[in-house]
Amino acid sequence: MSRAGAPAHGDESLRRLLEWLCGTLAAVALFAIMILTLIDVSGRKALSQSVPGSLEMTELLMVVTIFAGLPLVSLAGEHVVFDSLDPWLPARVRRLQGLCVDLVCAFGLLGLAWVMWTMAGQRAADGQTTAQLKLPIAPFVYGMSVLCAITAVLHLLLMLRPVAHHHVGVDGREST
Amino acid sequence: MTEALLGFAGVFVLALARVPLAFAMGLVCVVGLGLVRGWSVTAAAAGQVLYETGFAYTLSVVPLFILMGNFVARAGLAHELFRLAYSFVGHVRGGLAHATILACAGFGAICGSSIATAATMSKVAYPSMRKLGYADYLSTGVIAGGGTLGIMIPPSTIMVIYGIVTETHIGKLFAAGVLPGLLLAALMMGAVVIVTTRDPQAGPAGERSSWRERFAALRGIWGVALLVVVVLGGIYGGVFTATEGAGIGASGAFFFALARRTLTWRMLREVLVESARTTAMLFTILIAAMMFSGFINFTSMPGDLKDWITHMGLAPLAVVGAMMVIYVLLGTIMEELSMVLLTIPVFFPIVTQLGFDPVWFGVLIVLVVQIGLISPPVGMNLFVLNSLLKDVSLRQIFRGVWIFVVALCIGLAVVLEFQPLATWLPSFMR
Repeated sequence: MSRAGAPAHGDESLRRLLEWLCGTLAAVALFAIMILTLIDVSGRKALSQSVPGSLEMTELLMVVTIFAGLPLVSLAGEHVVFDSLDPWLPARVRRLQGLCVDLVCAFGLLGLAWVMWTMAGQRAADGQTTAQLKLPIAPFVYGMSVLCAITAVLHLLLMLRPVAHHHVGVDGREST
Repeated sequence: MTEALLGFAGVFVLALARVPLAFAMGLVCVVGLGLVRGWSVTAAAAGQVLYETGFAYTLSVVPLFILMGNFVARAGLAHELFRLAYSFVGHVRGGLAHATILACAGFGAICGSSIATAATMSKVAYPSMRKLGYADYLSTGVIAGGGTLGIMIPPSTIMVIYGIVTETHIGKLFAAGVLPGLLLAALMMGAVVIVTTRDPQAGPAGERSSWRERFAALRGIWGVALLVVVVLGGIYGGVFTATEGAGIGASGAFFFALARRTLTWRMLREVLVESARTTAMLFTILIAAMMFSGFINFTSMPGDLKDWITHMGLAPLAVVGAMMVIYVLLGTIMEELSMVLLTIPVFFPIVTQLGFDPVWFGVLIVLVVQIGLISPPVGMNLFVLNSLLKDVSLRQIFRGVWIFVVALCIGLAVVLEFQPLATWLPSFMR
């Protein structure tokens, strides 16, 4: 990874904390989806009895996995970018470009956070719950909003880094 | 039509300015829809897409298949697959290269990612080829090319995403990939034969293995082979859905890794976090693409293009062929997944209107992505190899890969012309 430039100390511990928190959240949720699906499917096929509410639990856990993973993606600079022009741009232009890009990302994510916060407020006011287990939905939507906001702040913090953090790289890029 | 074209132009300009593609698509959609339909409606629509894509049971198929691949990759299965393939074909000229392709095909039956397949194989196959004196251009070319089998042979992340976006049956897409995947493996092995005939020094033969060794190698992989049969067979036979199959597969791979004692707490956490990260990255693009396609569908572009094609009276197959040419050309410089997601809202309605099977088109899409992944100058697989194998120059990699690009292009032409190759197996599914 070309994540050059040593970050300041406070910065680093904050980053570790965030990585640990979001990583644990996403890992536990994903593992739970896996086990839940296993128990649900084998129960249904072998004993013709499914786990009650497994469907909606999976849905809630999916939200946790995706949105807890979001800050990690930004932190690792793993978003898909078109970086073929990089070799032709002087370092100073790239630095400026990095700043603008982080600003755009932060702006977009803050917008989403605001939209989701409003939506969560509505769901809370309506007292909306899942169909089977009657779990409240609003806290999860609030969670989506908060994690979007955290990622937005992250992009703003990344602007303070001495060198552009997005890398021409491959680590973890396993989409295709 | 104008709004849509402006939208596409906007995405390209933002992407060229290095804005992550997901954000570029999302931003253009919000601004575009906001100007056309009003801002509050747009904000609500964006929130709705985010909400619905997040809270979606069927989409758990994405992380679960990623997890399955990652567990098995960590368990070191690739070594055994390679040894098995080598024990059968190692003694012919270019045997290690043939074995690499076969091992890639086998690995592709567990892993749905081309990059992961190529990366794994570079660690497993490259050292053996180097030891035997293979030319670097052949060994890297064959790993890059073979790696792309990961997305044609089910499971396949690209197929899952195509299935989600176009609402095409994922199980049928998986079934459709099997025969083309085998065809491509055969074509690539043909490419190896051509290379080693022209330059016998590039790929010398290895030692012949005894049948005892072959059976010993088979023993190492039967567990995972069984898992693959259960998961893919179960989906094909309609015993369970793709989502359920993915859950079974991931759990099976987890227990497999556990049984082989390759799993520590730390590694378990790493695998889970890595898979979650890949999932989050895919979902940002997916969500943005859904938003963007909402915008495109709101404009008159899909309808206009359909009318235009009907008006011109073009041969249907020629239209799809032209799309493929566009994809192959775009794929040389663009990131493939975003290229597909960006164009699907425009191309897909045309293809279905012309009466083609969406499953067949899905296989074509996978093929152009494969080609894009290994075609210079911007092929992701090539860069992966370049970063993993430090002492092989990018020039060597480029030199070796072109023949595999040609092999894939031949495969594309064959699937384009003989549709049953893709549609025959799925036709038995309910």
